[in-house]
Amino acid sequence: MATTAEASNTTTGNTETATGKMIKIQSNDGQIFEVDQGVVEQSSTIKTLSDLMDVGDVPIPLPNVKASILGPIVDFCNHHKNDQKPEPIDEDDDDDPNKDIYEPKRSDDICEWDLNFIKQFTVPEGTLFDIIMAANYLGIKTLLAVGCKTIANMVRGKSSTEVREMFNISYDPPGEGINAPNAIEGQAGTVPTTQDANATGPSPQPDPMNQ
Amino acid sequence: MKTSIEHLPVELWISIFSYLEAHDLLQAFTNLNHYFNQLIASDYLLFHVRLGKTNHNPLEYAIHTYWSNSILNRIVSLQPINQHKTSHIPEFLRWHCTKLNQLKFLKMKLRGREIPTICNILPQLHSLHHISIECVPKQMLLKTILCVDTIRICQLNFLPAVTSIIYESSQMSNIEILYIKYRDDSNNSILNFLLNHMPKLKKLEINSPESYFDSRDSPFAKPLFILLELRTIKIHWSLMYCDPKFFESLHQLMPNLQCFYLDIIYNYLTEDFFNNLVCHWWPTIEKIQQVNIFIKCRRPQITIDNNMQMNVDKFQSTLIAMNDKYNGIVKVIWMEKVFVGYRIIEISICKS
Repeated sequence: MATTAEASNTTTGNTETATGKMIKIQSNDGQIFEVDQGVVEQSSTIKTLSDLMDVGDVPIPLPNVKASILGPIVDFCNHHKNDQKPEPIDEDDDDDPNKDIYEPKRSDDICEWDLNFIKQFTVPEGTLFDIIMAANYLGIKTLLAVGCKTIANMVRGKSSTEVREMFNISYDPPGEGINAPNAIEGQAGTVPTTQDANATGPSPQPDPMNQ
Repeated sequence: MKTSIEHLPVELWISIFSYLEAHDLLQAFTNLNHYFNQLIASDYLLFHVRLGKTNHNPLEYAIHTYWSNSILNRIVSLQPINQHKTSHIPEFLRWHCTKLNQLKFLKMKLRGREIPTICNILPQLHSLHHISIECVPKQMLLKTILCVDTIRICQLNFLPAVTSIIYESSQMSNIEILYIKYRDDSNNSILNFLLNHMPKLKKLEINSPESYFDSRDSPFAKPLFILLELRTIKIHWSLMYCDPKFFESLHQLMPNLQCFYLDIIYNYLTEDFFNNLVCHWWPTIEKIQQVNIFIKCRRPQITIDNNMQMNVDKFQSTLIAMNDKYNGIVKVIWMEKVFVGYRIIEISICKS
């Protein structure tokens, strides 16, 4: 049976009157959240569904998100609903010649609130990946960016051995994948053939130019 | 079931990888397992490479198996780790340029001896869209840049020139945006040469950080080239000299100019400067739709006598009166302060 958890709005103090129509969304384990337009606008999925369906008082089902993830997402959107929208980029008005679309995107610009927010999700529990996939499913670009930046920041400067340990990434079974006999020829170095945790396999050669 | 990192769909991995420089990405994810190797082999994944510099033999580096063809042909940007330091990018390019099929952005600082090599390489980079080079200006380099017909954005940061540019060419460039910074350009030879061969230029930014106009002509004083497509010009000048004819040919040179940005530091304020600004420069500049001028000038307070003060006050009134004269279309702000014995005047003029 569905339970209702009204989304708190402590960060902005907006009310239903100020933000217009309230919409109900339902997690895959039946919990219902009531959100305002400021939250709806941040999720392309919820916005599309609410525009297409005249939902009335019927909650919009979100079958790919469980309540333990949807709740924090509603909090995130409530916190960010009054953020200034980024201005559309005008190529002719680009003042910074060093700003280039061919640079890796910045990942060191996560604000403090978002940093603290994302800390509640962890790799061992799998919730960090849950929140990223939920943000992707719901089309919440800002949250998705925070999640992807967090993963990028975690792996930057790490070796493949460290990344394997950090995320508990599995080896290919013996004789399969990169351990397949015909995979050996195409790769430099030694190919791992066991599940030995010390067997790191052929990691890229250190780049002497960047040492 | 607990979600693991391998549950993330491919599009999210591509998004995560877009935050990583190529070395970080490859060191972290190569040969973890078949799934990640496939991800790294995906044509959707493009690489941003930053190279540094060590004392290692660059030939040893360049033939290293680290850079397989499948990675080289997905590199879209190549630049040094430290922006204003030399790197092994020229060596890297020498060995791999024929494989860099998707290289769109290239940034490097060059030594003089590396310029001939780069001139041979640039025409082989068939996707190059944006180039950024810091070096001593050389004719052969300028000629080569003009000849690469894929380049649309060009950033040139020139160290003091050793020789004048006297090269003549019928080659016209496709460059649309030019940022140029120079310390010395006798007779405007570099600027005139470049602008004479960039008929498609839409945006021009000139930065001359050191005192430049001690006795030279402005590049906008004589109609030596015509830029029909140019819409935006930004000029950052440091002046020691002020000529009434600085902008005399501006409209002949750039008849369709829409935005004019002028940022001037005038190191020794004279009354002539205000006279030129109000009586000679402004009538030319005001015909442009959008204008943004910022002037910072200074003079030792002790050298400002009563006569000069009266003249400065008069020009201040004239400029401030523009606020009413143009009914709010022009906004003028005049600020003065005294700092370490200098009178500093900052003037902002905006027209939109």
